[in-house]
Amino acid sequence: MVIIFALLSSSTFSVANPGGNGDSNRDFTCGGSCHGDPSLSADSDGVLTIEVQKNVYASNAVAVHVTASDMTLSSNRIVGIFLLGSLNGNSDHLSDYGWSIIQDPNGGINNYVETTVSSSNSVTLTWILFAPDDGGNYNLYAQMNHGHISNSDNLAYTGVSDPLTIDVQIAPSNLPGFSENWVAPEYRTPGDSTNIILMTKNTDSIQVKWKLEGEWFENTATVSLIEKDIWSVDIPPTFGDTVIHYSVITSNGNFSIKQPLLTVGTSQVEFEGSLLEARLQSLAFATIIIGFMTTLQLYFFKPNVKSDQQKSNSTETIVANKRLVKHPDHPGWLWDTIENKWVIDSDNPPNEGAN
Amino acid sequence: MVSAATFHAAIVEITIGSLTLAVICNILCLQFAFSLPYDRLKLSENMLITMDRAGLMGALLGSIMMPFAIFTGTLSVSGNPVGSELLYNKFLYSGLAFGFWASYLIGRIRMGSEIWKSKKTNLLQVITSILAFTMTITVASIGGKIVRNESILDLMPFWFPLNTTIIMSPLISTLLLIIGVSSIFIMYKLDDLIDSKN
Repeated sequence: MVIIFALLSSSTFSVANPGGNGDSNRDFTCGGSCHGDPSLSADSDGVLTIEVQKNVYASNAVAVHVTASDMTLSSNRIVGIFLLGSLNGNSDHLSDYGWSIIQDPNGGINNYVETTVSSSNSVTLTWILFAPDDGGNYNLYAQMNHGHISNSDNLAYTGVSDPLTIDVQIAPSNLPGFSENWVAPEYRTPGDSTNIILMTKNTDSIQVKWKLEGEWFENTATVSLIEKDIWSVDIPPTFGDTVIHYSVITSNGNFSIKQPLLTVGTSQVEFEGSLLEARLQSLAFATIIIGFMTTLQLYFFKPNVKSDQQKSNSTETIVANKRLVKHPDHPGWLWDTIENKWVIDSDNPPNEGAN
Repeated sequence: MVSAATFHAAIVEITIGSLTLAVICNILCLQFAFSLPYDRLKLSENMLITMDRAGLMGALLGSIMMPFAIFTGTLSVSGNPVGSELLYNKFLYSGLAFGFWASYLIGRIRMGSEIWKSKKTNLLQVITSILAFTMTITVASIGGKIVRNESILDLMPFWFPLNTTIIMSPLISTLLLIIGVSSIFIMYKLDDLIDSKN
């Protein structure tokens, strides 16, 4: 009973995942089951729409655009979006319906991604998919989870799009396109000038054009054939946050197909500092500073004490000199002006004979 | 259960508050050795003694709390506590801040309030505490950068680098640590030697 009570009590502490849960491949179970309980979730006020290009051919690349808009978000403005094959709750991943992901909106190969929404309160995410091998009608759904600006109960706000029914047509047997075995590269390391390898099918030639994110001018990349349907594409190295968009036209004697726009980002240089290194370095700096500063203190303070002592000694001598007055008629004797009596001059004591 | 992050926030507030008081009092202690041209700003002897003691106590409390602040800060970071340049720099600047505050305290405790009487040592103490405070607010600023992605120091035209760091190998750090400890030890021995000769 105690265990059950403890488990029930702890459930309130595990609602939602403020700050996101990270991109991954997930069934709707995560968004539907965890957030399906009305005490843990609420309806999103946002709108979700899905769009695809007109003609979708089996076993060929297709771009799916999901737009989320008009949501009231939390202060971090994060929204998590699923692309699903159904709303069953489980086994509803795209792969369960024959789709495969070439590239997700963040450059990976996940059906669930998180993104930060700008102040325009609208975001469009694009998945590049391989359509199923068999023709026919297929449904796609988008689902989103997000927080809310006034969300004291930490509820997950969820929204689901209407289904988008896609008529996947049987492709001509020699339609040129990407190979089903190819996955678009997500990132390149900064300064990496290694060529991107593209794998195609039914293709005699390809043309690749690239442009930097946010720019309109397209450059034509140099392409060389490694072996049949494997191509090496020369795209310049990137640094920092640079993202390159590239489009591929696959051609053979009969067809020329413009493939969906792909993206390759620049990975951040992994930070290699360890906790031990940080602690040792910090302690080393502290001891060096203490050693240096305390030595300076000693250097400045000791002569100061010495000069103070010398000063007080000389002052005493001057005072003593003023008090004791020599007299030419009484060599070896000094007149003490305060005590009004003769005292022996220690520097020049009187001769016994003279006394 | 109160999280480490909450403890960290509370301890940091005590640390920064105490050290801010200390640096203000120490700057006013300049009047022990340097006379001000304006009589109105001059502090009485009693007030200066109070400033000296307040500065000492503030620095003492701040320096005692600083290791706790570092410890709770490390605990409150999820994942690798030094997973980025910012966090790594937090360790380094904490070390520098601790070094300067400890130097100030060592000087003040060993030499007493007499340290303020000489112009050279007075200036050295004030510069030490200003440098210590600069390092301290740099550490606090890194905290702001991590949590809110901004800090008050963003308003400054220039500051110490926060997003770039130098990682020294543990071997070199150990060597520096040995040099630092040795120099402190030699300094103490020299001091004793000078005292015994006098």
